[in-house]
Amino acid sequence: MSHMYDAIVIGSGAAGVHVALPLVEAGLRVLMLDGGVPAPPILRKPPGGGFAEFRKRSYEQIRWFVGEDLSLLCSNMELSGMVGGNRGFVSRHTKELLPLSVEREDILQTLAEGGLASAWGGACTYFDDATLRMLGLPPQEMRRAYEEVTRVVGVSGPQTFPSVQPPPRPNHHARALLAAAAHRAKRLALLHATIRQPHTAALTETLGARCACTYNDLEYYSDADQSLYRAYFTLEMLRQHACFTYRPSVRVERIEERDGAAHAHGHLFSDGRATTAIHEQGRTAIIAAGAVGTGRILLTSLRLHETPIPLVSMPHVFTACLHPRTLGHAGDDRRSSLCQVLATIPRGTDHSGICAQLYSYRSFLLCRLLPLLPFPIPESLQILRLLTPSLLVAGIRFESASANGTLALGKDGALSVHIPESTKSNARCRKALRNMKRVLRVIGLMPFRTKYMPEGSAYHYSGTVPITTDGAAFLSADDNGRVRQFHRTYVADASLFPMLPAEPHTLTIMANARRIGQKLSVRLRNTSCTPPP
Amino acid sequence: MRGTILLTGATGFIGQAVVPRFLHAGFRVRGLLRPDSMWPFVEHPNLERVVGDVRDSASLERACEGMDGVCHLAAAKADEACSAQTNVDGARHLRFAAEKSGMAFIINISTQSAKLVRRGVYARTKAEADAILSSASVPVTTLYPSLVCGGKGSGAFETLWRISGLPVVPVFGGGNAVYYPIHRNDLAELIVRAAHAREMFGRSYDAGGPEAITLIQLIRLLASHRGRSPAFLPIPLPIGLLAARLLSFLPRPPFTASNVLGGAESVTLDSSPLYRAAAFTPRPISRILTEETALLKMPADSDPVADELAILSRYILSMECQRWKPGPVEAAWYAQALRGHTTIATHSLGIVRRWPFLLGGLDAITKRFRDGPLQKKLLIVATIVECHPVSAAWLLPQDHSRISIILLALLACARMGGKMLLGAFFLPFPGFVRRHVSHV
Repeated sequence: MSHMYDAIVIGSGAAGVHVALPLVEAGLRVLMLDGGVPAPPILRKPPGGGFAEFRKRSYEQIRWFVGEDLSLLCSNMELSGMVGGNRGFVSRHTKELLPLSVEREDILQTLAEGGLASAWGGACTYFDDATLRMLGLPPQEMRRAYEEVTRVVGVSGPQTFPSVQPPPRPNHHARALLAAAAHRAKRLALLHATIRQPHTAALTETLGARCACTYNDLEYYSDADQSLYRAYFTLEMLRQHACFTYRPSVRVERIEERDGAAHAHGHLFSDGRATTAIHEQGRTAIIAAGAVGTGRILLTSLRLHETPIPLVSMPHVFTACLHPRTLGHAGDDRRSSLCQVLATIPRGTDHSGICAQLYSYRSFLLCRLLPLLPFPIPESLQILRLLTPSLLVAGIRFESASANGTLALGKDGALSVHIPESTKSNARCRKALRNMKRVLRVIGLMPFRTKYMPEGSAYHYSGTVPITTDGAAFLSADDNGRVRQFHRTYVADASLFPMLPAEPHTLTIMANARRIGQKLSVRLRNTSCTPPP
Repeated sequence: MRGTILLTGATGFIGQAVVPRFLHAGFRVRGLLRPDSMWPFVEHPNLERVVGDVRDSASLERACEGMDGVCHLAAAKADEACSAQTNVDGARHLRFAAEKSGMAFIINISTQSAKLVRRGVYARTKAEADAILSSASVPVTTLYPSLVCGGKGSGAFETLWRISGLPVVPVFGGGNAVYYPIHRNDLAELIVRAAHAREMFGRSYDAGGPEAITLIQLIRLLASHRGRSPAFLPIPLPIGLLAARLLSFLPRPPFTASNVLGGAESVTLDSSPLYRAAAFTPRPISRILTEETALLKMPADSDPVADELAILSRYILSMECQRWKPGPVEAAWYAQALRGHTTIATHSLGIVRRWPFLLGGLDAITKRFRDGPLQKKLLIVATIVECHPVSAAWLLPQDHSRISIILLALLACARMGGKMLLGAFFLPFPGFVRRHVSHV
């Protein structure tokens, strides 16, 4: 008989590491099964100097900005999706190992160490009680979990929440936009809009071995200073504990409960091919494989073929904006590439909630904008070159109040995703977008081109195992994360959220995972029957 | 492993031949690369590039760290200020850096013209550099090459080849100056051997070819390979110098005062001590001529991928960044980007290869077909160009006055209009256009 763990955690992303942390801290034996595809070493390499210096000096920059595999350049030219450059490794081997059939949708799965959070932009929001209730989460417990997770992750921003570090220095765009927003507060109030500096998971003061933001404008491409939080930092912390075991290169396929234990079955893989079958058992299993991955594992475990379950996928668009006030100014050289201004409009009677994250275009490749302009390439490049200092991209996200798609397991084991309505044809989204553009104009931006992204390409999914009080949905969980169809199997990731608010929710995933982990650790300790190792 | 060596001027005419030979001999080579130059070598485990400049003492000191020796090839031939900085200050910085990092040897490549009586700026500054380096506490081997020929690209030999095709060839000061042409690869071999041989350290050698030839004889021989016999027009030295002076105001003068003076006075040299010490004799003139003229007569580069990258990148950067010339590294990137995309990879530029100016028109009218092979290729090349330090500087955000933004934007619009007009001429040939837009 193989070793009996207290908990088997599946996945090392934002949810996986934060559900494991309280369990490990309580001295419970935890096994983490994970795809564990490592980040290319280039990600840990310090660029040495700021953005401009790096661009003028480095011959390796193409590997940073495009990624290791240049043949992806051909298919990945446009502003498509959020995961670009050297972060593209998050989807390595998924095509072969996690078969998926989609029509128009762009669904990102990952087997990477640190999960999708390896490509996270770091934007955080502390949701209010009303939003938490809509997500099915108990507000009181979440307040505490938010506070604890903030200390682990390191969040900087407005001092509206305890233990938040001071906000990072805004760049010249953000300064002008925030000033304009303060000046036109009345007009913004009429539109019910809020403009503010967001909370970001980037440090402005040192935290343990991690440095404060160096403002080198390469945060997205390099983890060298560790200022921007990545889930694998916590994974490294976990691996120092004797009671934590990490097993990478594993694809978990199903969970089975028998003989008072949860059994995880899967395969080891190497080079994109499954090799040896593996089997582990624990007193509990916690699935944190992301909404799509968790759905796949649970559907396979219950042998539910051709049975669609709900999927919430966040609609999003990119809007390129010009900031005429900054035309002709190169702007700050030392800045951070993270989102610096957040504009939100809450849900109204005829439009959905909407949130725009404003990024200065500086640290992205101009070439990704070339297809948007109707001029020949050299002229487009020349014009973009003149405009870059005053170019912003608004990553606009819409609230999804309920499931807008379905996930089903085919007979052949391939997962199919179907999202019937496109963002463009959704009247509530269109109305919200019109309002958002009005808000952007009020704060002095000129939105000139909107690109509707394929459904699913925001890479934010949820709702496959929603928290419900009555168990109405087929696959559902109680508010401790326990799946109703099982006794000792829990879910700790975004699958639990029956809807997605427009505002960034990754911090809430982490806080909720921590909350579930804490409750579970208390229960497991109280009923401890296996002697410590 | 033989040791480690730093090469200044690694990307230059002689450097390009020296680097592979050092690698072949088992050295670990570090090449000093100016931030605005292209790197012309394929990747090699023992080859490392360090961005720096001999004019910047700090970068040179960093480059010298941990090196056993240095081979100093960097030199400027153009205008006065630059020559003084590169040749004289460069030598001073190098001496200091080599002494500081405790190097075992310096191989200094000077020039025969440093020995002339009447010297131009280049010769004078090189002579000064030799004096600076010879006073170093590190043993210095100095080689004085004569006319170096071989290989395509730059070099005096190619210029001579070009003028040998003229019906009347002007020669300065009678053209009776004597040269000892040496093949670039042979000079490189001698340099590598000089780095091996401890007994050569601290000595100076002439490094010419085994035979002497006058300028007129050389041009006549070159012309005979083309089947021509040109007439010679002797130009008195003062007139030549005056012309050089006037031409020096051009951005890229066709010849300089140094060229005029170098072609007027002869130096006798004896390279046999070097051949003996290095145990190597370079090839004679007759062989150089047959080999090299055959090479120069060949049409274009034979690698279609590199060739295509060169055409597209030249089009994209147009007048903005002429230094950007794709080398094997960039060609490998381009080939990698095309891998697995058969429709795009098999698309050929066809007629545009002969008349690259047509590309503008083709780009303008195919712009709407983003998935077409031509637009995809242009985007790939634009990305490669953007992710390259030599061209990135041009694309980085800069301060502009509003008027200059408007003027530059208008200029871009005018150029675009021109391209649209040019594109309209293709419309009667729909088959030609379709080839560049179809993606099936």
